[in-house]
Amino acid sequence: MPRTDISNCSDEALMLAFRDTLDEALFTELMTRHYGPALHVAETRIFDSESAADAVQEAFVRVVRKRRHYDGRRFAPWFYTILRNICTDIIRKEMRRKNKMEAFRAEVPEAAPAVRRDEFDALIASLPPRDREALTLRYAADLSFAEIAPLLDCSEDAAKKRVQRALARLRENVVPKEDGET
Amino acid sequence: MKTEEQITAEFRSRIRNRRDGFEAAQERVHREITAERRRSRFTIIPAGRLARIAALLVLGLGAFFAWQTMHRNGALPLCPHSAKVEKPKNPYVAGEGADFLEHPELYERICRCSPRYSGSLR
Repeated sequence: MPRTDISNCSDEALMLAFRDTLDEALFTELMTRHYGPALHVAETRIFDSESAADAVQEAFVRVVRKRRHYDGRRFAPWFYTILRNICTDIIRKEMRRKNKMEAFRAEVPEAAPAVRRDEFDALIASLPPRDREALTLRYAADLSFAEIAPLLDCSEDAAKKRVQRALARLRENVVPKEDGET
Repeated sequence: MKTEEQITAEFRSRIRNRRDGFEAAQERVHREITAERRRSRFTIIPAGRLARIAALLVLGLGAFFAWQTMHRNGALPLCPHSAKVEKPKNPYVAGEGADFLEHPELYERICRCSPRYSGSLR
């Protein structure tokens, strides 16, 4: 596949081509598209930036290993399901190691992304983790509500509500400041 | 006033542009892809794990029977024609002439030389 076409390809076309050719450039494009949202989703689940980055890394490695199982279905839900399973494994391991989840959460600062550039980032970080995850899956990973629901273990309506709640909260807090400045 | 589209667009760009740890992930994926390429180069027939285990078992059994047959054929020259004594009853017994004489019950005493030796193979 010519390099200039890669950025115009859908995730599915890239993944199918990667499955058949193991062309690293194709996979790098997929990683570039999904790394940020995946990191954010992992952070909302694990509450620890380093472990979240490890989880995302592991998810991409697992996609490489499992490429033969990919049959052309929507890439993003498949990928985020893999990521979710990895996050669950990591949390279970941590729970086993520390014996209880509460101890784990108490030691790790709640919802602390590695870099907070400005107020908007801080505002995003202040959203409840589940709402933040829903918002990320909807607007950064471009999943439909039907695709988000199984990832969040909730109904489609509940997923929609979470996204709306998070958006409303962002609007409440962003808009007055923006208006005040201008 | 920011519209919902502006807020979601800003959110999207913030999230999508996050790159903490990206290089490390890329490096690990690069190693994995290299390893996968190496693995697939040595895979003549793509097969699942079970199929591979089954194939290895068949190969192992084949090798074992080949070894056993060789062992059998390399048995002891005990008849005057210096042909071979037949296989030991217990295939794991590897012996020499002295062993046959000490434990004749472990060997089948049949001469298949041509012409046959009519005496006793002891």
